[in-house]
Amino acid sequence: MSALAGRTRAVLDRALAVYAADPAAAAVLRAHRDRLDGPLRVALAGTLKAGKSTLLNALVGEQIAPTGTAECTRVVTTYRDAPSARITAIPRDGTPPTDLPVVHRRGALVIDLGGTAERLRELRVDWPSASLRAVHLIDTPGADSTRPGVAGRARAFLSAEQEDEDGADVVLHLVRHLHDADVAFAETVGERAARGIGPAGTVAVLSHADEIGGGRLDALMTAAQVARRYRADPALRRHCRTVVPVAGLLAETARTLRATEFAAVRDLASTPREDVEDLLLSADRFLDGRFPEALERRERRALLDRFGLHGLRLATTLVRRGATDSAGLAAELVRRSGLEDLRAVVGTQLVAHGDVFRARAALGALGRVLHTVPSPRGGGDTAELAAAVERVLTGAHEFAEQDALVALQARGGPDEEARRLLGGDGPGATARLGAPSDAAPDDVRGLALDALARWRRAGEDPRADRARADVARVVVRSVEGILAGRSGG
Amino acid sequence: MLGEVEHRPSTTGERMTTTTTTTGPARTGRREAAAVLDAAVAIARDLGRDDVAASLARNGSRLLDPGARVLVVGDYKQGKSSLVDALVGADLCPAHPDVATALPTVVAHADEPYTVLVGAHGREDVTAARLAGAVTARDDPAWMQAEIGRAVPLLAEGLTLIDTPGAGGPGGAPAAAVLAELPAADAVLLVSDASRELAAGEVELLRAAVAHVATVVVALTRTDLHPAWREVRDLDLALLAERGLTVEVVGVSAELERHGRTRGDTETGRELEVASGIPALRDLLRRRVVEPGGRRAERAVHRHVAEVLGDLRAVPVVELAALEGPERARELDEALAAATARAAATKERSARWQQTLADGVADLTSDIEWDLRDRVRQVVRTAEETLEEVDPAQVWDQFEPWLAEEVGRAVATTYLWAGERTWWLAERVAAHFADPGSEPDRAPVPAGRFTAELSVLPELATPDLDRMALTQGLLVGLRGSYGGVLMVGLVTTLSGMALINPFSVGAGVLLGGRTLRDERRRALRRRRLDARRVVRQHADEVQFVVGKHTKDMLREVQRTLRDHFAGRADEVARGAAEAVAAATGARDLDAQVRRRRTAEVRAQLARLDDVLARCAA
Repeated sequence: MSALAGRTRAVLDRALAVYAADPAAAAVLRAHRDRLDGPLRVALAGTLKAGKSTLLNALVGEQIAPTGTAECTRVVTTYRDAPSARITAIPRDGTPPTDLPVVHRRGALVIDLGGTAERLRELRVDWPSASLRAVHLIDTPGADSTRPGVAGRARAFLSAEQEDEDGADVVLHLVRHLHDADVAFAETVGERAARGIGPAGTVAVLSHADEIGGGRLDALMTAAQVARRYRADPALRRHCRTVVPVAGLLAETARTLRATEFAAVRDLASTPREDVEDLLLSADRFLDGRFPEALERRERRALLDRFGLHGLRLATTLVRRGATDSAGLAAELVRRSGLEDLRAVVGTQLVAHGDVFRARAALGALGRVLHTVPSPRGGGDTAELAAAVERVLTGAHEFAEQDALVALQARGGPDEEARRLLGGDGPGATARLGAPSDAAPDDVRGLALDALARWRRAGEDPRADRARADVARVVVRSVEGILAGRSGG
Repeated sequence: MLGEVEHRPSTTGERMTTTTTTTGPARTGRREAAAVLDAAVAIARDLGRDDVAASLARNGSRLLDPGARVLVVGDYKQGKSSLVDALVGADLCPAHPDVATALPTVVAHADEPYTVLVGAHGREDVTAARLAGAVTARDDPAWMQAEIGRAVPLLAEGLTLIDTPGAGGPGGAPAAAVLAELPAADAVLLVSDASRELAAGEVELLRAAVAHVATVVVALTRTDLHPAWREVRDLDLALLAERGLTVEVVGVSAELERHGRTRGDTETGRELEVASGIPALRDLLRRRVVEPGGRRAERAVHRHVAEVLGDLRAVPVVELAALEGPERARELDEALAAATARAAATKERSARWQQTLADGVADLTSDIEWDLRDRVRQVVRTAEETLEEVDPAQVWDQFEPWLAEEVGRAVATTYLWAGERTWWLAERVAAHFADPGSEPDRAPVPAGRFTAELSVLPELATPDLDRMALTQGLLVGLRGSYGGVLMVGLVTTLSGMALINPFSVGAGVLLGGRTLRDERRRALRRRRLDARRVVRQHADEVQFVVGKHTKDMLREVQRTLRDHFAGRADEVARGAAEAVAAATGARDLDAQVRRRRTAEVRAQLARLDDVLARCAA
C-alpha cells in the first residue's frame, strides 16, 4: 500500500471512530475504507447511445452488458470479477437485494428487469473475468434520455447527489463529437470534481470513431486526427486529461469474434472487389443483396449488427490483404479499433495511479460527510477531522502530480519528458525515467540526477512563464521522490 | 399523418419508376392566378383606373411570391449540410467530417448562380473555398450568413432551404438562434442521426417548432450506415405520439444520393437515388410545403382580385343602364344607390378600422415591452442568484455565453409572440372590410414576418475580475503586519525591549494574516457587485435596443396597414363618384355615339365578369 493510501486510511479510521454512532455515515466511510485497496472503479458515462455498454463489452472481451437499438441501460450497473456469475438487483427503497437469473442467449448475457427499472437503484453483475480484476466497470444510462427519471439517474450517479457508498473513482466520458452538446453534459465535471474525480480522473473517448466522415475506409485515421486536434485544444483542460478515439462496435466484435462470422466475412471477401463495394454501399443493399448466396437475410442482419457497415468494409479489405484466420483478423481489427490505445491509457494513466483517485474519492466523501452530518460526539471532532483531510490533500505530492499532468496536457506543446517524469506512463521509477524496467539501480540513479539538474534549471529559468515554472517545480519534487526511493506504484 | 411516408428501398420490388420532378397542380395553379391578375390589371387600366391597376399589381405579386422557407435544424454533426446538398442534388453547403457549420446558409433559386457572404460590413461574392472557410472554420466572425443561389428543380418550384448551425443539445431548451428563425419558416426539417432515438433536446426543439410552424418533419440521416433505422424510426414515432406531437419521420441517406448522382442515369444510379429516400423527402416537401403554399397564394390572389373587380364593376353597370335609356331608369337608380351606399359604408367603417388599428398598435407596443421586461428580468434574477454563490473571476468564461444564450432566447420568444399578435391584429383590421361571414382579404398583412435580429444585441461587458496578485497580497499583508509590529512594538519598548522583538513580530504575523483574509473577502464581494452591475447594465441595454427595434417594426406594420386600407377606402369612394359621372355623361350622348359606347361597355362588362367567374372557380 502506498503512503498516500496509508494516510487516507488513518484519517478514515479516525472518522469511523467519531461516527460510530451514526450507521448511515459509518457505512459510507467503511465502504470507502474497504475500497482503498480494491480495484479502481471506472464509470462509463455519456449521452444516449454513445456506446457505453458496447465499449464495456470490448474492454471485458465478452458480451456481458446488453446492447441494442433502443435505449438499453436504464439502471446504473456495476460489473466486477468474482469466482462465479451472479446478478444482484438493489432496490431504491432499502428493501433487501434480490438475485436475478443468469441467462445467456447467443453468447450474450441477458439481464431481464421485467419493468422494475424504475424501482432499482443499482445492478451488480459478478462475472469471472481477468479483465475485471484490476477495475470495476460501471455502466450508466444516457444523460439525455427522454424517459423520465433515467437521465436523472445518470446525472445523480456522476454528481455528488447519489449516496456515497457506490460512486466511481474515475470516468471514461464517451462522446460522438466534442461539441457544445456534450460540453453541456461535461458540466457535471464540476460536480464530479466535488467528489474528487475532476479532469484528472476523466478520459474523453470518441466512441464512434468509425462513423466520423460517413464511415469510409479511412474513418479511423480521420478520427485519430480529430482526437489529436482536440488534445491540443486548451478548452479541454476543464473537462478531461486526454482524448482517445475508439471504434467501440468494431472493438467489441473483434474481441468476441466467432468462427462462423470469420467464415462469412471470408466468403464475402472472396467475391470480386467492385461487387463487394457495391454491396456495402448501404446497410439495406447488403441485407437485400443476392450474393454470397449462402448468406440468409437473418445472418446478414446479425453480421451488420456485429460489425457495422464500416466494420464489414474494413474486415473484407483486411481478409483480402491476407488475414487468413479468425485470430489474425481479430487481432488486426482490435489494433485498428483503437482499443489497445484506450487500454494503455486506462492502464498507465488511471489504474497505475489508482491509489491517488481512490484516496481523492474517499477524502471527498469524508469531506461531504463532515459538511452535512453533525458529529454524534460534538463539534470539535469534525473541525479536527476536516483539518486532517486538508493536510492529506495538500501534503500529498501525488495530487500535485496529477494536476500538473492535466496542466501540461493543456499547454498544447507535447512536453514528453515532463509527462513521463510526472508518471504519465506509469508511476514506477524506470517508467518515469524512460529506462528499461530491468535497468541497474546505478543507471536509474544517474538518469534521475541528470533529470533533477535539468528541471531545477528549467524551474529557475527567468524566461519561463509561471505555468511552466510551476510544472517544473512539481517535476523536480517527483524526481526527488525517485531518488529518495518513494515512487513505486 | 404519422408514419405516412413509408419509402421502401428496392427490397419489396415495388420500385418507384418516376424520379423526375413532379410539376403538380401547384405550379399550374400559380400560373392561372398570375393570368387572372394580369387580366384584372388590364381591365382596371381600360377603365381609366391606373391607381387600382398599380395597387392590384403590387399586392398580387406579393401574394404570389412563393418563398416557402424550410428551416433545417438539429444537433451538431447530424448531417444537416449534407442533407441540404442531397435535396438540392449538388455539392453546395460546405460539410466537414468534424468541424460543424457555424454560419446559417440560405440556399434559394436563382437563374444566375451566386455565392455570397453577408456581414455587418456588407455583401461579398466569394469562391467555394472561401465559403467553406467562413462557414465551417468561421475564420472571420463578422460574417453573419451565407447565401447560395442556383437554378435547380426543387428550388425553382419556390423552395428556400436554410441550413442552420447545430442546436438542441441535452440542455433541453432550443437555441435562441433557431427560435428567432421560426416565425419566418413555412416548414421545419429536424435532422437526427439514425443511430439513436430522439434525445430530450430534440424533442423540445420539435415541440417549439410544432407550436409555430405548420409543417414539421424529422429526417433520420445516415440510414446507409444503420440497418436498424426502421426500428429507430418506429421508436421515434411512438415517442412523438406519446408526447402528442404530430410529426412525420423520414429515413434518408445523403451519402447514397451522392453515389447515385455520381453514377448518373444508370440503373444502379437510379436505384441508389430511390434507396436514399431523398426523392421521397423531396416529394413530401412538395406536397406539404410547396403545393399548399401555392394553393394559398392562388386563393389569396383570387379573393383579392374578386373584391377589387367587384368594386370596379359598379361603373360599367351604371353606365350601361344609363346608356340603354329611360326604360332602365329604375335599375340605374338602384345601381347608383348601391354604389353610393358602398362608399358611405366604407367611410363609416374607416373610422372603425382606424380606431382598431390605433388601439391595437398601442396595446401591442406596451404588451411587447412588458413581455420583454418580464422575460429579461427573470434571466437577470437567475444570473444574480448564480453570481451570489460563485466567484465571478472563476466562472465568467462559462457564465458569459450562458447569459448571452438566455437573453437571446428571451428576446427571440418575445419576437415570436409579437409576430403572432401582429398577424392577429392585421386580420382584425382586415375583417372590417370583409362582408360579415366571409374570409378577410389577406393582401394587406405584411407577410407576417416578424423575426428577431439577435445580431443587433449589444455585447456583454467584462467586469473587473482582477484577482489579487501575489505582490498586492503581500503589500496588503505587510500593511496589516506593519501596524501590528508598530503597535505591539511601541508598547513593548516601554518595557525596555527593541521595537522589533518576538512579541511585536508575532503580532505582526497575526494581524498581517488577518488583514489579508479580510482583503480577500472584500475583493470577492467587490467582484460579485461588479459582475451584478455588468449584468444589470447589459439587461438595460438589451431592453433599449430591442424596444427600439420592435417599436420601429410595429410602426412599419401600422404604416403598411394604414396605407393599404386607406387606399382601398379611396378606391371605393372614387368608384362611386365615377359611377355617378358615367351615368350623367351617358345621358347627354347622341344616338350613334351611344350605340358604339353601349357595345364597348358591354364588352368591358363581359371581360370583367369573365375574370370574376375565373376567380370564383
